[in-house]
Amino acid sequence: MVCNDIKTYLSGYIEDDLPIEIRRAFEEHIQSCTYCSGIVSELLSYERLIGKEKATNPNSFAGTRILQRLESELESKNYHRRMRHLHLLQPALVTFGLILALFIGFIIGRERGLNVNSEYVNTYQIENLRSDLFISDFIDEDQSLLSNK
Amino acid sequence: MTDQELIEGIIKRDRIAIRQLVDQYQRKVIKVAYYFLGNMEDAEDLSQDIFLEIMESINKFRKEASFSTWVYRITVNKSLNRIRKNKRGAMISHLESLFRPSQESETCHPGIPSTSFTPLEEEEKRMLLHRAIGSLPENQRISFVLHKFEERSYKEISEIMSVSLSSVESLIHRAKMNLQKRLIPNFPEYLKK
Repeated sequence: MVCNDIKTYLSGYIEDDLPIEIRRAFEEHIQSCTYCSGIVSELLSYERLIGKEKATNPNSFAGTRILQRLESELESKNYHRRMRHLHLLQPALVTFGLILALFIGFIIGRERGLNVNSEYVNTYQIENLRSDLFISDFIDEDQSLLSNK
Repeated sequence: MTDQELIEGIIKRDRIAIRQLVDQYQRKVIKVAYYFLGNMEDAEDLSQDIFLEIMESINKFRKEASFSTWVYRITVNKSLNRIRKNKRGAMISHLESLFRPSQESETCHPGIPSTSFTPLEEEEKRMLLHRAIGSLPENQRISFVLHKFEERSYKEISEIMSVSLSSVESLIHRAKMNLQKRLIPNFPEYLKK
């Protein structure tokens, strides 16, 4: 193997993915070539670093913090949803209030109207009764006069 | 709880289902976000938005792919959006700093942590690695991260990215070649070959 071949097999060597024969030839070359061995050791150091990075773990409280954030967002979303419902209900409530006020007004007005009518009827009936009584008095008087004659 | 039950529970905003979702996916989501952003705090912060997005768009899940694929897709998209936003923010702050000549601003690269626990050389390398990954074209970056860091199969990556299997193979190959070029700048002769 010569220096030019190193580039071809470098990735495979770093990732331990070379057939045994080629790997052996590769290692023989880098043992004799300081330039190529420098490249390989440099890249191997990055490979080890990647291994370390993979082993890096997140903070053990990260999950709790995520949950807290999700809960607070959910709470605020619920609050906004409630408020949105209230905003939607507001015109309906106002309309309902107006209709209710009109209805109550109508009922009160109707009640008062009935009272007036009944008063009128009562007055009318009493007057009729009086006049009837008055007429009947005359009739009685006439009949007594006739009988006297 | 099966995926179907989990989805139905999330739609109903059932707290047990939401807890299950977070328990089951938080690690995956945070880690993928971390691989893209290169900063754990940013990744954890973004993961909250990702879970919120999952909950809000759960009705859009069409079951064409598995639920985990769909979660990965949201995670990748959100991470890329955050990177774009960070870049825009960095550009604006850079422009602002140009108009503030006397102020000595502490430059802060988005997605690059400032932890001092690791040895300097390793920290530098870590930064270089994330910068190199970040400089890859978007599709190469997604396929490389999911393959190399998340160890997803080519098939899964093709489903997440909605591209063909052969495209994924080609994207990963090109990503590796590009990364080699970016990570070993001290070997110019090798890069010329």
